[in-house]
Amino acid sequence: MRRALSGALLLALLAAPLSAATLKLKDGSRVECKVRSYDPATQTLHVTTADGEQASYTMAQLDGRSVYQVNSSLIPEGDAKAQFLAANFARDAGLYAHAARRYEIALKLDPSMQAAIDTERTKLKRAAAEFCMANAKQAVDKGDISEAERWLKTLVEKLPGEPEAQQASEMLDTHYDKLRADKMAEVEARASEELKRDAASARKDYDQMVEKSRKGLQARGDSQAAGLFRGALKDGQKVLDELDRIERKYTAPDVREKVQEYRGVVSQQMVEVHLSIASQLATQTDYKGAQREVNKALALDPDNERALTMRARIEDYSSRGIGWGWGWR
Amino acid sequence: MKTLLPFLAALSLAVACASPAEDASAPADVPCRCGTPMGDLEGCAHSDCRAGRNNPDNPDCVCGTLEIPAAKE
Repeated sequence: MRRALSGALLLALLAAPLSAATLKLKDGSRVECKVRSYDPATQTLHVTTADGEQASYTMAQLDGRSVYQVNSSLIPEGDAKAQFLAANFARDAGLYAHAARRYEIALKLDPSMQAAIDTERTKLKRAAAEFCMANAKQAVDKGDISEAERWLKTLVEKLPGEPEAQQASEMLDTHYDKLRADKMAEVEARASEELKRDAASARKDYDQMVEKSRKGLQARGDSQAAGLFRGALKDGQKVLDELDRIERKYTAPDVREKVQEYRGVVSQQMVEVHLSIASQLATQTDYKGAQREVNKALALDPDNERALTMRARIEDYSSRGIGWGWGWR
Repeated sequence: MKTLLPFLAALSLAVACASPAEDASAPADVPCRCGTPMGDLEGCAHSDCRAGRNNPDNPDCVCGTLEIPAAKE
């Protein structure tokens, strides 16, 4: 029996996968490989490719993302200066979150670097804001308003001090209410005249909720934003109560189904407001409060990916005792 | 039969080692967003990335480090 078990273990070890890496080259192609060594003198990575060939790549041949990963693998974890340089590299390669995280690490390792890190962080925020605006404009050009709005909201919420945030706030005026009015119009187009009449007051409250949500995003002060978001949620709850009343009135399954469609649009807006409040609380490092808001969002939509992602990030940041968004604000 | 049993045991162990451990009772992980514009900006909440490890299922993930034998000497 012992022999059989030893054999099994040996076989399992032999079958265990080698730890592979994926390198991205400047021409966009990828190489699945296992790294054999790195030569610092020539800045060359020697690898064995997935099909057993031996190959070498200089850093100049690799895409910025892969160069960053090679750098990450070579720098000593406890070296503040090296972390600082890796952060600068990450920023210039468009890996903004990686850059922000490494500045945080460098600062923890050597608080005397504060001034230098602040200077580089200012550049990081500048680059990130330009990146967000470029993505927003590209999405507008493609007619993908919902994608554009994601970038505009990110700018407004995460980079409020940058000039692009003001521009984003103005752009939200054009897109935010319209996008939600269009969603509601889609639902109304499928509803009967009678149901539309019944839901007229709920519709009014919904429009009010949307307006307060947008103004909350555009608000300058945190307390003003919080007041507007809470007001929006109150309006949203009023709409849901009204929809409950309407649903009780009808027995026909098709009409009840249409009421559910109304409910879906309103719930999504409420989820969004809960997540905006959560983001605001997390920025103030009130992680418990932020988690409460995310849970309320998940109660309305348990599969919401943004809420699930936010929950994971809040757990992570709160357990490590670090600032929200790696010091974006 | 005597030789088949250890072979099957080894095979199941190898399969368990080769595939990422998915505990049925563990909460579902969020998708890895590394390599997407928003992921590059905001960071990724995937469990591997949060733990500072590379996510082998996403070729665009640059979290964690590569294994470079000579560099560790």
